[in-house]
Amino acid sequence: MEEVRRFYDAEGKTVEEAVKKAQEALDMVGRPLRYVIMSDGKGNRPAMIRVFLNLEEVELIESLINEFFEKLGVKPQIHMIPRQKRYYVNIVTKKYDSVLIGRNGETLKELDYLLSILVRRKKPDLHLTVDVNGYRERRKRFLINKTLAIAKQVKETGREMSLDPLTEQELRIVKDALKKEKGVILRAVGKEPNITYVIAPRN
Amino acid sequence: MGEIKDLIEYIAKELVDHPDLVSVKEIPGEKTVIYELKVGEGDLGKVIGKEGRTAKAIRAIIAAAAMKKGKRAVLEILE
Repeated sequence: MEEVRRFYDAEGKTVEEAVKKAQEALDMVGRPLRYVIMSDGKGNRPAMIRVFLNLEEVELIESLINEFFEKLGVKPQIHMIPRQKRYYVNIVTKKYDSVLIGRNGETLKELDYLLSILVRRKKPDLHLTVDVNGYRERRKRFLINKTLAIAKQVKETGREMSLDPLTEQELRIVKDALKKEKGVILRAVGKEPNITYVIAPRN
Repeated sequence: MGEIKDLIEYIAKELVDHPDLVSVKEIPGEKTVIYELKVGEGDLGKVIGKEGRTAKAIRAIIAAAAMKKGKRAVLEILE
């Protein structure tokens, strides 16, 4: 299937400059763009914006989520970031956030599943990663930091250490985090469904 | 708890092929509210999903919404 371009990234010294560059590149000079600020350019890194190229998709997702929560009497804030093959959609309701996340993100997993099939019924190639109040991103950062801290300790002590049980998605995050850690390897111990992952020193 | 009823109805209507045949009945109780979701013939699989995956998701969401109101919600799906 043909890869659809859903976003365009532009950099500049400031956000304004990045917007101007994007407008020129996209033949949208003088016209408003819808974009997310990925980096505001106030630190050492340049400013970067990500421009939505498919507004129809964005509006479809927004209207579906709005309608869904309207039934509960909630007007959610929806923050979207287009990614390689899917939209990251962060929903903030305040009132319902904690129950929608649930214990260990259990309810969030169900919300993600449900909103994803509702959207896909309207547009089959549209994929979402649903988040509530940034829970997934926080979890992800926490997991990366923890993995790197364990890897460091394994390298220092030369002793292997096991990780807490991981979901498939978490395993992917851990593997990704360890890619640049040359001194250690990730090993699976045991069999399904009782696999434990161990970070061990290389050789 | 009319809100949860509306949400169930909305979700079901989005999932099925015959939205006009979707109805939800709310049976209130002291602590537990039962929702009877009725769908048209042939649409049962759409709201239940593969191995009950979709029904499980709907149940989790309405349980969460009900919890916020200090209630328990039970969903029954009928054809």
